[in-house]
Amino acid sequence: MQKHISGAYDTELDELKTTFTELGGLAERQVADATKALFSNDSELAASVKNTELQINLHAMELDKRAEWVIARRQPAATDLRLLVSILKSSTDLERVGDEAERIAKLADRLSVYDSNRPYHEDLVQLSNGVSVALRESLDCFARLDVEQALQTIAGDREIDSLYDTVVKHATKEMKKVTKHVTNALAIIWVARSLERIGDHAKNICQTVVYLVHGQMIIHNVFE
Amino acid sequence: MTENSLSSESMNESTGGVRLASKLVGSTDTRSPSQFQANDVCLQVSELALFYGTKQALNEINMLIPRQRVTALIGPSGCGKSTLIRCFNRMNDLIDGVTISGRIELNGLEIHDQEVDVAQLRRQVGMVFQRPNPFPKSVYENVAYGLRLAGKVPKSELDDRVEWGLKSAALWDEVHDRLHDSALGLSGGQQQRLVIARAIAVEPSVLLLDEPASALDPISTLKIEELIAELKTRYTIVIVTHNMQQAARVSDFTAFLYLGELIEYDSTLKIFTNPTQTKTEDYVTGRYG
Repeated sequence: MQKHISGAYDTELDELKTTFTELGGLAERQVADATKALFSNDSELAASVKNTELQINLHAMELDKRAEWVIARRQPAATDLRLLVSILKSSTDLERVGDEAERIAKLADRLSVYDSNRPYHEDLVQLSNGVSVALRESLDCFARLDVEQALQTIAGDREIDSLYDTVVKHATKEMKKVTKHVTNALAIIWVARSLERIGDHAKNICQTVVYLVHGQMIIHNVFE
Repeated sequence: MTENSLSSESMNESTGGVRLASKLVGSTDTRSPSQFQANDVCLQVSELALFYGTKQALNEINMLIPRQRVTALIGPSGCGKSTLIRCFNRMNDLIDGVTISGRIELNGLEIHDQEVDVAQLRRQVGMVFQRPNPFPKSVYENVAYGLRLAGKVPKSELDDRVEWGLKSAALWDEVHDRLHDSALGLSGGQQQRLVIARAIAVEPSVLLLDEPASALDPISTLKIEELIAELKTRYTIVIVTHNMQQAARVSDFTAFLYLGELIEYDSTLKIFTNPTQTKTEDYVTGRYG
Protein backbone atom coordinates (compact mmCIF):
# COMPACT_ATOMS: atom_id res chain seq x y z
CA MET A 1 0.00 0.00 0.00
CA GLN A 2 1.12 3.51 -0.80
CA LYS A 3 2.06 5.95 1.91
CA HIS A 4 -0.43 8.60 2.96
CA ILE A 5 -0.04 12.00 1.40
CA SER A 6 0.24 13.21 4.98
CA GLY A 7 3.42 11.69 6.39
CA ALA A 8 2.27 12.66 9.88
CA TYR A 9 -0.78 10.40 9.49
CA ASP A 10 1.46 7.43 8.67
CA THR A 11 3.63 8.26 11.67
CA GLU A 12 0.58 8.38 13.96
CA LEU A 13 -0.61 4.96 12.73
CA ASP A 14 2.90 3.50 13.07
CA GLU A 15 3.14 4.83 16.62
CA LEU A 16 -0.17 3.23 17.48
CA LYS A 17 1.01 -0.12 16.14
CA THR A 18 4.22 0.20 18.17
CA THR A 19 2.29 1.07 21.34
CA PHE A 20 0.00 -1.90 20.72
CA THR A 21 2.99 -4.22 20.26
CA GLU A 22 4.49 -2.93 23.52
CA LEU A 23 1.20 -3.59 25.32
CA GLY A 24 1.17 -7.11 23.84
CA GLY A 25 4.73 -7.67 25.06
CA LEU A 26 3.80 -6.55 28.58
CA ALA A 27 0.75 -8.84 28.67
CA GLU A 28 2.79 -11.78 27.41
CA ARG A 29 5.45 -11.23 30.08
CA GLN A 30 2.78 -10.97 32.78
CA VAL A 31 1.33 -14.35 31.82
CA ALA A 32 4.79 -15.94 31.73
CA ASP A 33 5.75 -14.46 35.12
CA ALA A 34 2.43 -15.36 36.75
CA THR A 35 2.63 -19.03 35.74
CA LYS A 36 6.32 -19.18 36.62
CA ALA A 37 5.53 -17.70 40.04
CA LEU A 38 2.88 -20.39 40.49
CA PHE A 39 4.93 -23.39 39.43
CA SER A 40 8.12 -22.30 41.23
CA ASN A 41 6.39 -21.02 44.39
CA ASP A 42 8.04 -17.64 43.83
CA SER A 43 6.06 -15.14 45.89
CA GLU A 44 8.37 -12.26 44.98
CA LEU A 45 7.66 -12.79 41.28
CA ALA A 46 3.94 -13.06 42.05
CA ALA A 47 4.12 -9.69 43.83
CA SER A 48 5.89 -8.11 40.87
CA VAL A 49 3.10 -9.35 38.54
CA LYS A 50 0.54 -7.63 40.77
CA ASN A 51 2.57 -4.42 40.68
CA THR A 52 3.00 -4.48 36.89
CA GLU A 53 -0.76 -4.85 36.35
CA LEU A 54 -1.21 -1.11 36.85
CA GLN A 55 1.32 -0.47 34.06
CA ILE A 56 -0.72 -2.58 31.65
CA ASN A 57 -3.89 -0.69 32.52
CA LEU A 58 -2.18 2.68 32.05
CA HIS A 59 -0.63 1.51 28.78
CA ALA A 60 -4.03 0.31 27.48
CA MET A 61 -5.66 3.60 28.48
CA GLU A 62 -2.93 5.56 26.73
CA LEU A 63 -3.35 3.45 23.60
CA ASP A 64 -7.12 4.02 23.58
CA LYS A 65 -6.62 7.77 24.06
CA ARG A 66 -4.19 7.96 21.14
CA ALA A 67 -6.47 5.92 18.91
CA GLU A 68 -9.40 8.21 19.75
CA TRP A 69 -7.27 11.20 18.90
CA VAL A 70 -6.31 9.78 15.49
CA ILE A 71 -9.99 9.03 14.77
CA ALA A 72 -11.01 12.56 15.75
CA ARG A 73 -8.30 14.22 13.67
CA ARG A 74 -8.09 11.97 10.62
CA GLN A 75 -11.55 10.42 10.19
CA PRO A 76 -9.97 7.18 8.99
CA ALA A 77 -11.59 4.95 6.39
CA ALA A 78 -11.16 1.43 5.00
CA THR A 79 -7.94 -0.32 6.18
CA ASP A 80 -6.99 2.57 8.45
CA LEU A 81 -10.41 2.50 10.09
CA ARG A 82 -10.21 -1.27 10.52
CA LEU A 83 -6.73 -0.95 12.02
CA LEU A 84 -7.99 1.53 14.62
CA VAL A 85 -11.08 -0.55 15.42
CA SER A 86 -8.85 -3.64 15.71
CA ILE A 87 -6.39 -1.90 18.01
CA LEU A 88 -9.21 -0.67 20.25
CA LYS A 89 -10.82 -4.13 20.39
CA SER A 90 -7.57 -5.98 20.95
CA SER A 91 -6.24 -3.55 23.54
CA THR A 92 -9.28 -4.51 25.65
CA ASP A 93 -8.35 -8.17 25.18
CA LEU A 94 -4.77 -7.50 26.26
CA GLU A 95 -5.88 -5.47 29.25
CA ARG A 96 -8.03 -8.42 30.33
CA VAL A 97 -5.15 -10.83 29.74
CA GLY A 98 -3.29 -8.65 32.26
CA ASP A 99 -6.22 -8.99 34.71
CA GLU A 100 -6.16 -12.78 34.38
CA ALA A 101 -2.38 -12.87 34.89
CA GLU A 102 -2.81 -10.82 38.06
CA ARG A 103 -5.49 -13.25 39.23
CA ILE A 104 -3.12 -16.18 38.67
CA ALA A 105 -0.39 -14.33 40.63
CA LYS A 106 -2.81 -13.74 43.52
CA LEU A 107 -3.82 -17.40 43.50
CA ALA A 108 -0.16 -18.42 43.44
CA ASP A 109 0.25 -16.38 46.61
CA ARG A 110 -2.81 -17.93 48.19
CA LEU A 111 -1.53 -21.49 47.69
CA SER A 112 0.63 -22.40 50.65
CA VAL A 113 2.81 -24.35 48.27
CA TYR A 114 2.33 -25.59 44.70
CA ASP A 115 2.80 -29.32 44.61
CA SER A 116 3.96 -30.66 41.26
CA ASN A 117 3.15 -34.22 42.36
CA ARG A 118 -0.57 -33.63 42.12
CA PRO A 119 -2.39 -35.42 39.26
CA TYR A 120 -3.43 -32.18 37.53
CA HIS A 121 0.16 -30.91 37.26
CA GLU A 122 1.08 -32.24 33.79
CA ASP A 123 -2.12 -30.97 32.22
CA LEU A 124 -1.85 -27.60 33.94
CA VAL A 125 1.70 -27.17 32.62
CA GLN A 126 0.49 -28.11 29.14
CA LEU A 127 -2.44 -25.72 29.44
CA SER A 128 -0.14 -22.94 30.53
CA ASN A 129 2.29 -23.60 27.65
CA GLY A 130 -0.54 -23.85 25.12
CA VAL A 131 -2.02 -20.54 26.27
CA SER A 132 1.37 -18.77 26.13
CA VAL A 133 1.93 -20.04 22.59
CA ALA A 134 -1.59 -18.98 21.52
CA LEU A 135 -1.04 -15.49 22.95
CA ARG A 136 2.34 -15.13 21.25
CA GLU A 137 0.90 -16.37 17.95
CA SER A 138 -2.02 -13.96 18.16
CA LEU A 139 0.34 -11.01 18.62
CA ASP A 140 2.58 -12.22 15.78
CA CYS A 141 -0.47 -12.58 13.53
CA PHE A 142 -1.52 -9.04 14.36
CA ALA A 143 1.94 -7.66 13.58
CA ARG A 144 2.30 -9.65 10.34
CA LEU A 145 -1.38 -9.58 9.31
CA ASP A 146 -1.10 -13.35 9.00
CA VAL A 147 -4.65 -14.67 8.52
CA GLU A 148 -3.55 -18.26 7.90
CA GLN A 149 -1.79 -18.49 11.26
CA ALA A 150 -4.71 -16.66 12.92
CA LEU A 151 -7.12 -19.35 11.69
CA GLN A 152 -4.81 -22.09 12.96
CA THR A 153 -4.57 -20.46 16.37
CA ILE A 154 -8.36 -20.08 16.51
CA ALA A 155 -8.73 -23.78 15.73
CA GLY A 156 -6.13 -24.61 18.42
CA ASP A 157 -8.35 -23.09 21.11
CA ARG A 158 -10.28 -26.37 21.24
CA GLU A 159 -7.15 -28.09 22.59
CA ILE A 160 -6.88 -25.41 25.29
CA ASP A 161 -10.52 -25.91 26.25
CA SER A 162 -10.04 -29.64 26.47
CA LEU A 163 -6.93 -29.30 28.69
CA TYR A 164 -8.91 -26.96 30.93
CA ASP A 165 -11.65 -29.59 31.27
CA THR A 166 -9.06 -32.23 32.17
CA VAL A 167 -7.46 -30.05 34.87
CA VAL A 168 -10.88 -29.30 36.36
CA LYS A 169 -11.72 -33.00 36.32
CA HIS A 170 -8.50 -33.96 38.15
CA ALA A 171 -8.81 -31.12 40.67
CA THR A 172 -12.44 -31.99 41.40
CA LYS A 173 -11.52 -35.63 41.95
CA GLU A 174 -8.76 -34.50 44.30
CA MET A 175 -11.21 -32.37 46.31
CA LYS A 176 -13.60 -35.28 46.66
CA LYS A 177 -10.81 -37.62 47.74
CA VAL A 178 -8.71 -35.55 50.15
CA THR A 179 -10.47 -32.83 52.12
CA LYS A 180 -7.31 -31.03 53.13
CA HIS A 181 -6.52 -30.45 49.43
CA VAL A 182 -9.78 -28.60 48.77
CA THR A 183 -8.30 -25.10 49.08
CA ASN A 184 -5.41 -25.82 46.76
CA ALA A 185 -7.49 -27.74 44.26
CA LEU A 186 -10.04 -24.91 44.18
CA ALA A 187 -7.26 -22.40 43.54
CA ILE A 188 -5.95 -24.62 40.72
CA ILE A 189 -9.41 -24.63 39.12
CA TRP A 190 -9.39 -20.82 39.22
CA VAL A 191 -5.89 -20.71 37.72
CA ALA A 192 -7.01 -23.04 34.93
CA ARG A 193 -10.07 -20.88 34.39
CA SER A 194 -7.88 -17.77 34.04
CA LEU A 195 -5.58 -19.55 31.59
CA GLU A 196 -8.52 -20.71 29.54
CA ARG A 197 -9.80 -17.13 29.41
CA ILE A 198 -6.41 -15.88 28.26
CA GLY A 199 -6.70 -18.44 25.47
CA ASP A 200 -10.10 -16.95 24.57
CA HIS A 201 -8.59 -13.46 24.43
CA ALA A 202 -5.83 -14.76 22.14
CA LYS A 203 -8.55 -16.25 19.95
CA ASN A 204 -10.41 -12.91 19.93
CA ILE A 205 -7.25 -11.16 18.77
CA CYS A 206 -6.87 -13.71 15.96
CA GLN A 207 -10.48 -13.13 14.91
CA THR A 208 -9.76 -9.41 14.90
CA VAL A 209 -6.79 -10.05 12.59
CA VAL A 210 -9.16 -11.70 10.09
CA TYR A 211 -11.42 -8.65 10.32
CA LEU A 212 -8.46 -6.31 9.94
CA VAL A 213 -7.26 -8.03 6.78
CA HIS A 214 -10.54 -9.05 5.11
CA GLY A 215 -13.09 -6.70 6.67
CA GLN A 216 -15.17 -9.71 7.76
CA MET A 217 -16.18 -10.33 11.33
CA ILE A 218 -15.91 -14.06 11.92
CA ILE A 219 -17.58 -16.05 14.60
CA HIS A 220 -16.24 -18.97 16.51
CA ASN A 221 -18.68 -21.54 15.11
CA VAL A 222 -17.56 -20.98 11.54
CA PHE A 223 -14.31 -22.80 12.26
CA GLU A 224 -15.69 -25.67 14.27
CA MET B 1 -40.25 -2.40 -0.69
CA THR B 2 -40.39 -0.15 2.32
CA GLU B 3 -37.51 1.63 4.05
CA ASN B 4 -37.94 -0.54 7.12
CA SER B 5 -37.96 -3.82 5.31
CA LEU B 6 -34.79 -2.79 3.48
CA SER B 7 -33.14 -1.84 6.74
CA SER B 8 -33.88 -5.03 8.57
CA GLU B 9 -32.95 -7.11 5.56
CA SER B 10 -29.64 -5.29 5.23
CA MET B 11 -28.88 -5.51 8.91
CA ASN B 12 -29.66 -9.20 9.01
CA GLU B 13 -27.25 -9.72 6.19
CA SER B 14 -24.44 -7.81 7.84
CA THR B 15 -24.93 -9.45 11.22
CA GLY B 16 -25.16 -13.02 10.00
CA GLY B 17 -28.91 -13.26 10.50
CA VAL B 18 -29.01 -11.81 14.02
CA ARG B 19 -31.97 -9.46 14.42
CA LEU B 20 -30.89 -6.35 16.28
CA ALA B 21 -33.29 -4.15 18.20
CA SER B 22 -31.58 -0.97 17.05
CA LYS B 23 -30.83 -0.01 13.46
CA LEU B 24 -27.61 1.13 11.90
CA VAL B 25 -27.67 4.91 12.14
CA GLY B 26 -27.19 6.80 8.89
CA SER B 27 -26.99 4.69 5.79
CA THR B 28 -29.62 1.98 6.01
CA ASP B 29 -29.42 0.35 2.61
CA THR B 30 -26.32 -1.80 2.56
CA ARG B 31 -27.16 -3.89 -0.46
CA SER B 32 -24.75 -4.13 -3.33
CA PRO B 33 -26.08 -2.40 -6.49
CA SER B 34 -26.11 -5.83 -8.15
CA GLN B 35 -28.92 -6.73 -5.75
CA PHE B 36 -31.24 -3.95 -6.95
CA GLN B 37 -34.58 -5.12 -8.31
CA ALA B 38 -35.74 -3.58 -11.59
CA ASN B 39 -38.32 -1.38 -9.85
CA ASP B 40 -35.68 -0.05 -7.38
CA VAL B 41 -33.85 1.65 -10.23
CA CYS B 42 -34.52 5.29 -11.07
CA LEU B 43 -31.62 6.03 -13.41
CA GLN B 44 -29.93 3.37 -15.50
CA VAL B 45 -26.64 4.38 -17.09
CA SER B 46 -25.36 2.04 -19.82
CA GLU B 47 -22.03 2.29 -21.60
CA LEU B 48 -22.01 6.05 -21.24
CA ALA B 49 -19.05 7.80 -22.87
CA LEU B 50 -18.56 11.54 -23.18
CA PHE B 51 -15.98 13.55 -25.11
CA TYR B 52 -15.17 17.25 -24.86
CA GLY B 53 -13.91 17.62 -28.42
CA THR B 54 -11.34 14.85 -28.67
CA LYS B 55 -10.75 14.58 -24.93
CA GLN B 56 -12.61 11.70 -23.35
CA ALA B 57 -14.15 12.68 -20.00
CA LEU B 58 -16.28 9.59 -19.31
CA ASN B 59 -15.46 6.07 -20.36
CA GLU B 60 -18.05 3.30 -20.57
CA ILE B 61 -19.93 4.12 -17.38
CA ASN B 62 -22.49 1.54 -16.29
CA MET B 63 -24.46 2.09 -13.12
CA LEU B 64 -27.90 1.72 -11.60
CA ILE B 65 -29.03 4.60 -9.40
CA PRO B 66 -31.72 3.51 -6.97
CA ARG B 67 -34.94 5.33 -6.32
CA GLN B 68 -35.35 7.32 -3.09
CA ARG B 69 -31.78 6.78 -2.03
CA VAL B 70 -28.78 9.09 -1.91
CA THR B 71 -25.99 8.16 -4.30
CA ALA B 72 -22.69 9.99 -3.90
CA LEU B 73 -20.14 10.48 -6.65
CA ILE B 74 -16.61 10.89 -5.32
CA GLY B 75 -13.18 11.15 -6.90
CA PRO B 76 -10.31 13.55 -7.41
CA SER B 77 -10.72 16.76 -9.41
CA GLY B 78 -11.14 16.07 -13.10
CA CYS B 79 -12.32 12.48 -12.60
CA GLY B 80 -15.61 13.17 -14.37
CA LYS B 81 -18.05 13.22 -11.47
CA SER B 82 -19.52 16.66 -12.30
CA THR B 83 -19.62 15.73 -15.98
CA LEU B 84 -21.53 12.55 -15.08
CA ILE B 85 -24.07 14.29 -12.86
CA ARG B 86 -24.66 16.88 -15.60
CA CYS B 87 -25.49 14.08 -18.02
CA PHE B 88 -28.54 13.21 -15.94
CA ASN B 89 -30.44 16.36 -16.92
CA ARG B 90 -28.58 16.94 -20.19
CA MET B 91 -26.76 20.02 -18.93
CA ASN B 92 -23.80 19.01 -21.08
CA ASP B 93 -25.93 19.66 -24.18
CA LEU B 94 -25.24 23.34 -23.55
CA ILE B 95 -21.48 22.91 -24.01
CA ASP B 96 -20.00 23.17 -27.50
CA GLY B 97 -18.14 20.17 -28.86
CA VAL B 98 -19.61 17.60 -26.49
CA THR B 99 -20.29 14.13 -27.87
CA ILE B 100 -22.19 11.58 -25.84
CA SER B 101 -22.77 7.91 -26.54
CA GLY B 102 -24.47 5.22 -24.50
CA ARG B 103 -27.79 5.33 -22.72
CA ILE B 104 -29.32 7.00 -19.68
CA GLU B 105 -32.79 5.84 -18.79
CA LEU B 106 -34.89 7.78 -16.34
CA ASN B 107 -37.66 5.54 -15.04
CA GLY B 108 -37.20 3.38 -18.12
CA LEU B 109 -37.23 6.23 -20.68
CA GLU B 110 -34.10 7.13 -22.65
CA ILE B 111 -33.41 10.80 -21.93
CA HIS B 112 -31.63 11.41 -25.25
CA ASP B 113 -34.61 10.36 -27.36
CA GLN B 114 -35.67 13.01 -29.84
CA GLU B 115 -39.16 13.33 -28.44
CA VAL B 116 -37.84 14.18 -24.96
CA ASP B 117 -38.60 17.79 -24.02
CA VAL B 118 -35.37 18.95 -22.34
CA ALA B 119 -37.13 21.66 -20.32
CA GLN B 120 -39.53 19.01 -19.01
CA LEU B 121 -36.59 16.67 -18.29
CA ARG B 122 -34.89 19.39 -16.23
CA ARG B 123 -38.05 19.91 -14.21
CA GLN B 124 -38.04 16.20 -13.50
CA VAL B 125 -34.34 16.19 -12.74
CA GLY B 126 -33.63 19.30 -10.66
CA MET B 127 -30.13 20.56 -10.05
CA VAL B 128 -28.43 22.51 -7.27
CA PHE B 129 -24.93 23.89 -7.75
CA GLN B 130 -21.96 24.57 -5.49
CA ARG B 131 -22.61 28.31 -5.17
CA PRO B 132 -26.17 29.24 -4.25
CA ASN B 133 -27.70 30.94 -7.28
CA PRO B 134 -31.02 32.49 -6.29
CA PHE B 135 -32.60 34.83 -8.83
CA PRO B 136 -32.38 38.53 -7.89
CA LYS B 137 -36.04 38.38 -6.93
CA SER B 138 -38.00 37.90 -3.74
CA VAL B 139 -37.90 34.67 -1.74
CA TYR B 140 -41.46 33.95 -2.89
CA GLU B 141 -40.74 34.59 -6.56
CA ASN B 142 -37.71 32.34 -6.50
CA VAL B 143 -39.83 29.37 -5.51
CA ALA B 144 -42.80 30.38 -7.65
CA TYR B 145 -40.65 30.88 -10.76
CA GLY B 146 -40.45 27.27 -11.87
CA LEU B 147 -44.13 26.73 -11.15
CA ARG B 148 -45.07 29.72 -13.31
CA LEU B 149 -42.83 28.41 -16.09
CA ALA B 150 -44.60 25.08 -15.89
CA GLY B 151 -47.95 26.73 -16.60
CA LYS B 152 -50.57 29.01 -15.18
CA VAL B 153 -51.19 28.26 -11.53
CA PRO B 154 -53.97 30.01 -9.51
CA LYS B 155 -52.61 32.41 -6.87
CA SER B 156 -53.95 30.44 -3.90
CA GLU B 157 -52.41 27.21 -5.21
CA LEU B 158 -49.16 29.04 -5.91
CA ASP B 159 -49.08 30.29 -2.29
CA ASP B 160 -49.59 26.74 -1.06
CA ARG B 161 -46.91 25.30 -3.32
CA VAL B 162 -44.38 28.00 -2.31
CA GLU B 163 -45.08 27.33 1.36
CA TRP B 164 -44.80 23.57 0.80
CA GLY B 165 -41.50 24.01 -1.09
CA LEU B 166 -40.04 26.22 1.64
CA LYS B 167 -41.22 23.87 4.37
CA SER B 168 -39.79 20.88 2.52
CA ALA B 169 -36.46 22.68 2.27
CA ALA B 170 -36.56 23.42 6.03
CA LEU B 171 -36.55 27.15 5.34
CA TRP B 172 -40.16 28.22 6.01
CA ASP B 173 -39.66 29.01 9.71
CA GLU B 174 -36.78 31.32 8.89
CA VAL B 175 -38.37 33.24 5.99
CA HIS B 176 -42.17 33.09 6.36
CA ASP B 177 -42.30 36.70 7.57
CA ARG B 178 -40.12 38.05 4.77
CA LEU B 179 -41.32 36.20 1.72
CA HIS B 180 -41.29 39.32 -0.37
CA ASP B 181 -37.81 40.49 0.64
CA SER B 182 -34.97 39.95 -1.82
CA ALA B 183 -33.54 36.43 -1.76
CA LEU B 184 -30.08 37.97 -2.01
CA GLY B 185 -30.46 39.17 1.58
CA LEU B 186 -30.48 35.59 2.90
CA SER B 187 -27.36 33.93 4.29
CA GLY B 188 -25.42 31.52 2.03
CA GLY B 189 -26.92 28.48 3.76
CA GLN B 190 -30.44 29.90 3.50
CA GLN B 191 -29.89 30.77 -0.17
CA GLN B 192 -28.79 27.18 -0.84
CA ARG B 193 -31.92 25.82 0.86
CA LEU B 194 -33.98 28.34 -1.15
CA VAL B 195 -32.45 26.96 -4.34
CA ILE B 196 -33.37 23.46 -3.16
CA ALA B 197 -36.92 24.71 -2.43
CA ARG B 198 -37.05 26.13 -5.98
CA ALA B 199 -35.93 22.79 -7.42
CA ILE B 200 -38.40 20.70 -5.44
CA ALA B 201 -41.38 23.06 -5.85
CA VAL B 202 -41.90 21.61 -9.33
CA GLU B 203 -41.87 18.12 -7.79
CA PRO B 204 -38.97 16.51 -9.64
CA SER B 205 -38.25 12.82 -9.31
CA VAL B 206 -34.48 13.31 -9.11
CA LEU B 207 -32.45 15.96 -7.34
CA LEU B 208 -28.86 16.46 -8.47
CA LEU B 209 -26.60 18.19 -5.96
CA ASP B 210 -23.21 19.31 -7.27
CA GLU B 211 -21.13 20.02 -4.15
CA PRO B 212 -24.11 21.69 -2.48
CA ALA B 213 -22.37 22.47 0.80
CA SER B 214 -18.79 23.18 -0.21
CA ALA B 215 -19.28 26.96 0.01
CA LEU B 216 -21.09 26.79 3.34
CA ASP B 217 -20.05 26.97 7.00
CA PRO B 218 -20.35 23.80 9.18
CA ILE B 219 -23.77 24.70 10.64
CA SER B 220 -25.29 25.43 7.22
CA THR B 221 -23.63 22.26 5.92
CA LEU B 222 -25.26 20.28 8.71
CA LYS B 223 -28.67 21.72 7.81
CA ILE B 224 -28.20 20.79 4.15
CA GLU B 225 -27.14 17.27 5.15
CA GLU B 226 -30.18 16.89 7.39
CA LEU B 227 -32.34 18.19 4.58
CA ILE B 228 -30.86 15.58 2.21
CA ALA B 229 -31.77 12.82 4.70
CA GLU B 230 -35.31 14.21 4.83
CA LEU B 231 -35.68 14.66 1.06
CA LYS B 232 -34.53 11.17 0.14
CA THR B 233 -37.80 9.78 1.44
CA ARG B 234 -39.43 11.50 -1.57
CA TYR B 235 -36.71 11.98 -4.17
CA THR B 236 -33.83 10.16 -5.74
CA ILE B 237 -30.74 12.17 -4.87
CA VAL B 238 -27.37 12.16 -6.59
CA ILE B 239 -24.68 14.21 -4.90
CA VAL B 240 -21.19 15.12 -6.04
CA THR B 241 -18.93 15.89 -3.12
CA HIS B 242 -15.26 16.42 -2.45
CA ASN B 243 -15.89 15.91 1.23
CA MET B 244 -15.60 12.17 1.77
CA GLN B 245 -16.97 12.34 5.29
CA GLN B 246 -20.02 14.05 3.85
CA ALA B 247 -20.43 11.23 1.34
CA ALA B 248 -20.11 8.74 4.20
CA ARG B 249 -22.65 10.65 6.31
CA VAL B 250 -25.38 11.34 3.77
CA SER B 251 -25.28 8.68 1.10
CA ASP B 252 -26.51 5.10 0.84
CA PHE B 253 -24.38 4.29 -2.20
CA THR B 254 -21.07 5.67 -3.34
CA ALA B 255 -19.43 5.63 -6.75
CA PHE B 256 -15.71 6.30 -7.03
CA LEU B 257 -14.59 7.73 -10.35
CA TYR B 258 -11.03 8.13 -11.55
CA LEU B 259 -9.89 9.51 -14.91
CA GLY B 260 -13.39 9.20 -16.34
CA GLU B 261 -13.86 5.59 -15.29
CA LEU B 262 -16.18 4.17 -12.70
CA ILE B 263 -13.69 2.31 -10.53
CA GLU B 264 -16.05 1.03 -7.85
CA TYR B 265 -19.72 1.46 -7.02
CA ASP B 266 -21.16 -0.11 -3.91
CA SER B 267 -22.96 0.57 -0.65
CA THR B 268 -21.39 3.51 1.18
CA LEU B 269 -20.75 1.19 4.12
CA LYS B 270 -18.68 -1.11 1.91
CA ILE B 271 -16.80 1.71 0.14
CA PHE B 272 -15.74 3.35 3.41
CA THR B 273 -14.99 0.25 5.45
CA ASN B 274 -13.84 -2.42 3.02
CA PRO B 275 -13.56 -1.32 -0.61
CA THR B 276 -12.66 -3.94 -3.18
CA GLN B 277 -10.42 -1.89 -5.47
CA THR B 278 -6.98 -0.65 -4.43
CA LYS B 279 -7.58 2.72 -6.11
CA THR B 280 -10.73 3.24 -4.04
CA GLU B 281 -8.89 2.18 -0.89
CA ASP B 282 -6.07 4.62 -1.62
CA TYR B 283 -8.50 7.44 -2.30
CA VAL B 284 -10.75 7.01 0.75
CA THR B 285 -7.76 6.59 3.06
CA GLY B 286 -6.06 9.68 1.68
CA ARG B 287 -3.19 7.86 0.00
CA TYR B 288 -4.02 9.23 -3.40
CA GLY B 289 -4.04 12.94 -4.27
